[in-house]
Formats: sequence, structure tokens, C-alpha cells
Amino acid sequence: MAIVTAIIAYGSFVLTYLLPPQIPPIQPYQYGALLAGSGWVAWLLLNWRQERGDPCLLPCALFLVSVSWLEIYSLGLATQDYAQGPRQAVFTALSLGVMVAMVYFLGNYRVLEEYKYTFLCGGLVMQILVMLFGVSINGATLWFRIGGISIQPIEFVKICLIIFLAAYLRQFRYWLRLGFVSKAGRLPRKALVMLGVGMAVAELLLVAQRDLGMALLLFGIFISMFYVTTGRRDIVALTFLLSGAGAYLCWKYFTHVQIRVANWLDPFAQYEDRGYQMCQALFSLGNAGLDGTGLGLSQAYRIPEVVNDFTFVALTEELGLLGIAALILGVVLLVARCFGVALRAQDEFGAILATGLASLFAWQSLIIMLGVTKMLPMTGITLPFVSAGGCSLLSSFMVLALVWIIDAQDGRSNALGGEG
Amino acid sequence: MRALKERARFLAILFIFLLVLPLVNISRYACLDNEELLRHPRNHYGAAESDLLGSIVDRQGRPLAFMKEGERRYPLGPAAGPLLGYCNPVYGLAGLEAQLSERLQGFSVPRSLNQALLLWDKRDRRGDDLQLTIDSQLQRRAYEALAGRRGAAVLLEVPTGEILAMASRPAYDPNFSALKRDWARLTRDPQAPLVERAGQGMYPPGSVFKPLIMAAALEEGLTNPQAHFDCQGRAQVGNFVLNCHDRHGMLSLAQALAYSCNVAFADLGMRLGMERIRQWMRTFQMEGRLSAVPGAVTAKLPEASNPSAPAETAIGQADTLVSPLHMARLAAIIARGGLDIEPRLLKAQVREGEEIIWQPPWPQPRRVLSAQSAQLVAQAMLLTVEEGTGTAAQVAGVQVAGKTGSAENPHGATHAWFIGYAPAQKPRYAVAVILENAGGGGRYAAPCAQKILKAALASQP
Ligand SMILES: [Zn+2]
Repeated sequence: MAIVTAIIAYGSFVLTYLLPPQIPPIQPYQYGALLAGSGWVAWLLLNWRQERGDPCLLPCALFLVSVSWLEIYSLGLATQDYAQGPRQAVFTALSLGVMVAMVYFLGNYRVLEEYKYTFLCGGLVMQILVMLFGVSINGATLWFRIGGISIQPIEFVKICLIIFLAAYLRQFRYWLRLGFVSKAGRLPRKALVMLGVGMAVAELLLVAQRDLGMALLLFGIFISMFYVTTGRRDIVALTFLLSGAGAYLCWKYFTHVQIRVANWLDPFAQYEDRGYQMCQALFSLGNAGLDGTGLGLSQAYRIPEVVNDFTFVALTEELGLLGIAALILGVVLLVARCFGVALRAQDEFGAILATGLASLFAWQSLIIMLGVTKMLPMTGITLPFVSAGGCSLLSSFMVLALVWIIDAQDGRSNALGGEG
Repeated sequence: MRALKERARFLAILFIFLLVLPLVNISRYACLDNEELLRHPRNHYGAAESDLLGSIVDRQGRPLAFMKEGERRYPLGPAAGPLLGYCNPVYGLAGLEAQLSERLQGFSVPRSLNQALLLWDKRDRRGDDLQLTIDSQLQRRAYEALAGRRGAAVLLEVPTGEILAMASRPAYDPNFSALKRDWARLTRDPQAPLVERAGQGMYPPGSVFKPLIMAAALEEGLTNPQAHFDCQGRAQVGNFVLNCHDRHGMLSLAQALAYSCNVAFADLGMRLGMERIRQWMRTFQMEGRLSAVPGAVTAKLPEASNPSAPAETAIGQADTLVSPLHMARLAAIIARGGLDIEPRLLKAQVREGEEIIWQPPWPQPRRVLSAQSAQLVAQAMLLTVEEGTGTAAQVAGVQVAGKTGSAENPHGATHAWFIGYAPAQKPRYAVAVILENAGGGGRYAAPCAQKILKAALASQP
């Protein structure tokens, strides 16, 4: 099963040879080979070990990476950024290396639980540092720039926060299940404090950092993990209500939020300015049809920042409705297998952590896919394994590594005997 | 633990359904309901198949924009930059390139699979060429005449209404390499070099509005050639005190125009009233779009209703806004003795280099002004250049008629205006020049218009 999926995934590299040989110094097949080779090596190295994780995880990710790499490569040629494709291939190989290293050197993932406050503090410190010393792009301070490379720490902060949340929720899982007013007549303050902190972080990101995508994402992950752990539907509903009210207030009092909403509802009204990107994306979608234009034949390079924000739209234009449905199925498969890991886990920390990581993939894909198709306001977050960018790739593969480790150490080895 | 996993399973199933949601809009935009999107006027998809893109040529067939080695070339560079716009895969389309892209492609972009199949055999056909009425020599001369200034110039051929030059400064070079080099600066420059000013700039007309007021007052019988005005340097209109730039004393009607007396024209404006001024602007075709000049703006008619508004409007202040093209058309109407011909920029759409498949309809000259009134205004404009405010526009050996203007505006020094035509007896060329915040029209705009008229008169065999 794993081998079949892997072969299908790698089959797309054959397409590499079909790319026009326009730029002699950069041979597409060399980097295609690097990508494919590193994928194979990582797959072999992972399966070399006694403890193995879910066989579908890596092929799913490689399927997404390889299809989008072709897209990124050809968009790079169209926008005359010839280093873009090679860069992405090298980043993929490096990220795969980090993934293998994590699997080999992270002895027992349960130690993560011990260091939960380290992760929380580390994450917050990184985020505060970037707010203080980062580089601003379009009014949002989200990047460090070190030696010409932009680093977006939030990509790693979110993993830290998920690890912290998993450990925290496990510790207080019973406590949080108490009612608003418990039998002893005390308020379960921890639940409320947590709720408050979670929402405050999200709304802070939204307002101070102008990062709507990340706010939605963290909020979504938080709610998912909280619900799975505690099963408190009432608190989940209350949180939705309160954050709905919070969002309404933000809309009412912050002009940049209003502008964003107006731009979402009618991008053509601001065509010359803020709406331009979304309008071009819609034209690109309109050009797709059922079967698309074919790989490398789209005009999606007209969309500004296409490889970062709109890779998904470019793929839609080239693969058409049918092709993109297949890609979405790839994402669904990945998310489903990650949840499978949560279902198999023997340890509650593992189950909660895997749920958090799976909902990270799910929410992140959902928010950006809905954003670029104009069903939600457009946000700047990346599509895991699909968008260009080293940080996003590295972070996605690190998440994948964690899921694999949970499954290898805690799920499959124990579950083979029967139902857990 | 079991309950936890039940909830995780529920969440997983929820996500599987949620993740398919984007397909709703994708199928809507990509297949089911994309007709409107694809017909959207902003949608320039297909322009990138640019090797097949037709050329833009001037009235003599000299190239203004053409494809070479997969790149769009613009031989005139910045001289025609804002007018032609640009076309390349990175920055998209602008200017005429954008407005004419469908014609330049020769067919509309395939909208769906079926249409694409139908069009398949036509796809290797080159797009159509478009001929403009522009004369590339004169375009260049007009651009040079504006050197060192912000502003615009329009040159019309009087007998036909064809636009020979439409220059705009500050400008940009639309060739891709230059655009790539300058893009950051161009998009940030507060002087807006990307804006085409000759047909799309909106300015208060100032005193170049006076020929229209004079013609209107004559036509309405509110004044006559024998009328005279007494200028004391200022006039009281209700609570509003209107200053003249000189104490002119007694002036005839023609002299009032030649010396641009504000007191005299405030008087005429008050006699006309706002409604009739608006009506005459409509008669002079300042409202509405032009079928053969893509992108040209409509003038903003005055709306003010305070008691002194007619006086202010008559001297071209208040809230009226016009483009240089409107003012060139006004000069051409006077030059033709009261006949209006709609200005044209598009000349022909040529397929395969030979067959003309489209031409804008030949405009019928329409009388908007009686010959007598037009002649009186023409004589006053001749007087303006011979001894009035516009002497700097004189061309040796040719009689020039014209009118200067210095339009006050909130951005600093006055906009310098000049409109005129030459030769006065048998007009061939009409011109309008505006120099933003340059100062007085007679001092700055008139010499600039003189250069353009001289170049045009010299070009004729
Ligand atoms: Zn006076």
C-alpha cells in the first residue's frame, strides 16, 4: 500500500522532463532528482527502524510537495525568479533531513510533556522578539531577516503552543470537566482562565499583528483540542459566541479590519489597490474549467505573490476542478491519517498531541483554501506542503515527524495485537 | 480515554467534510458560473499569448508598440508611455494596451472548453493591428515641449478631429526592462507618473473657459460685439469680491477676452446663470464618453449654487473640472466656425496587415454654435495672441489664435493653460496645453503650445 502510493507520488516527477529547457544553468531534472531522491531516502530511513509510524503519512506529504514543486518551479520561470524552484527543492530535502533526524534522535516523545512550560515560554519569547525586532511587511511584523533569509517564527511558535496545550490539557483534563459552578460551589477558574488566555492570544494576534489567518488558526486548534479533551460543548459554544462578539467589535472599531472585510466581499471595488491580488486570483480560477490548462500553461503568474499565497489557485488553474479535487483528497487523506494516529495512541498525551497536530493541518489547509476561493477573507497563512517557503515546509515536516513518532512509539507497536 | 477518542473521531469526520468545502466555490468559479467573471472588463487573461499580439501603429504606419522576441517593444519610450500603457506578464496591462487588448488579440479569450475547441484552429493566427491617429513625430515633439514640467498637451487636426498627439508628463518608459527597473519608484511617486493626463486628467479650466462663456452669451443674445465693460480691478457679486489681475478700465467684448478680464466675464456669467452655463457645456460635448478615445474622462459640470457661483464658474474657477482634451475640442470648434467633430484616437483595426475590419464611424460635423458667434470669438482669440495675454504663442509667418488661462487650485501655484489653433484664417491644428502649478498661462503654457504648433505647421508638406 505504502509503496503503491509512493510510486504514484513519484510518478509526477516524470513531468519534470516535460518542462521547457529554457534556462541552461538550472537543470530542472537535477532538482527533481534531488526532491525525489531525498523523498526515497527519507522513506527508507524511516522504515529502517523497528518502530514504524503510519505508512501513508510520508507519501501523502510527498505527493503534495512534489505536485506543488512543479507548480512553484514553473511559476518561477514565468516570473523570472529562476532560483525559486531549486530553492524549494533544497528546502524540501533539508526539511526531510530534519524529519528523519527528529525520528532518530527524539528518544521518547513523552519527555516533551515534562518541558511544557519551556515550550510555552520559548514560543512566547520568540513571538515577542519578532514583534519587537522583526521586519514589517505590509503593516504586519512577522518576520526575522537574517543574512537575506526571512524567518517566520510563528511557524515554529505554533508547534510549541500545541505541545504546551497538549501537556496542559492532559494535566487538567478532569479539572476542566467540572461545571461552571462545581458541586463545591467553586468556579473552575482554570477553565475560564484558559479560555480567556486562548481568546486573548488570538484576538491580540488579530489586532496587534494584523494576522487574521494565524489568529483563526490558533483559535481553531485551541477549540479543537479543548473539545476533544474535555467534551465541554457548552464552553465551546460560549467561546464561539464570545469570539464572534469580539470579531464584531474588531470590525466595528478597527478600520483595517473593515477594509479587509469590504475587500473580501467585493474585491473589484478596490481593483487598482487592495483588491488586485484577489481579482487576479478569481480570473485565474475562472480560467480553470473542468480539466485546467495543463501544468506550466497557466497565467497564474499574474497574481502578485502567487507562490506564497496563491499556489493553490495556480494549481487549480492548471489542473482544473478535477485535478484540484484530487489534491484536496490528498490533504483529506493526510488529515485523516493524522487523526488515525490520535485514535490509535495508547497514551492520552499522545492522543491529544496528535489531535492538535492533525487539526493544525486541517485548520491551516481549510483557512487558506477558503481564503483563496473567496469563501473567507484572504489571509497570509500557507498551505502545508503546497505553498512555497522554507519555514512553512520545515514546520510542516516537523509536525509530520511528531505525528510519526507518536504513532511509532505509542500507537502501531501496541495496537497490532488488537483494538486499543 | 474512550470518550476522548470518540470525540477525536467526530472531529476527524467533521474536518473531512469541511475540507471539501472549498470545492463549492472552485466549481462555481472554474466551471459553473464563470461567465460573468470571464467577461469582466478587467479580465485581461490571454494577453500573455503575446507573440500573437497585434501591433499598435501611428497614422503613417510607424510602430508604436510591437512584439519582438517575446517582449513588447515601445520605440517612443516615455514620449508615449502613459498613453499606450504597457503589456507584459509581470505587471499586466495598462493604458491603451489594456483598453484595446481584445482587438489586439483579434478574438476574445476562449471562455469554456467548448469554445476553446472551436477556437483551436484560429489560435495560431496573429492578433489584429491597430492604427491610431497619433503622429509619432508630433507626439515626440509635444512630449519634448513639456520638458521639465508636470502637465499634458493635446494636438488635434482641425478638419478631421483626429488626435495627432497626446503627451503627458511625468511619464515612464513602458519597455519591460525599464519598467522593471523603475517600478517601485513609479508606483510610489506622489506625482503619479502612471496617470495619463491628456485625456484623463481633471483640472479647473481657469480662463480658457472664457471663450465658451463668450460664445454662450453671444448665442443667448445677452451681449453683442458692441458691448463694453468697465473694469475697476474688482467687482462685488453679492457678498463675494472678485478680483481682476489688472485695472483694465473700459474694454470691448473682444478686448475683455484678449486681456482675460475677470470683471467682464463675471458679469457675463451672472447674466447666463448656472443652468445655462451647464447647458452650454453639454452643447460643447464636455459631458459623456468618447467612442473613439478609450479611457477619456467626462468633464465635471459645475454644481455650486451659491449666489456668486455663475461669476466664479464663468472665469473657470468654482467646481468645474475638465481634461486637456475637452479644451482642445473647444478650440477646434471655434476654429471650424462653430462645427463640432468628435475627437478620435482610433483609426482602424487591420487584419493580416491588409484588410481593414473595423473603423470608428466617420463622425458627422455638428453645428453647436452659429457661424457669426464663432467668428466673433475667433477674432477675439486672434487678438489675444496678437496683443493680449497670449503673445508668447506667436509663430513667425503664421497667424495664431488662442486663449491663456491661470487656474487657481488647492495644490500651489496656478495651473498654466493655453488653448489655440493655427493658422487663424484656415485652421489646421488645434492645441491645448496645461502645466500643473507652473504659474501664469501666458508666460509658461503659451510658449510651450507655440513649440507644438510650430512643429505641426512645419511637418505639413
Ligand atoms: Zn479686468
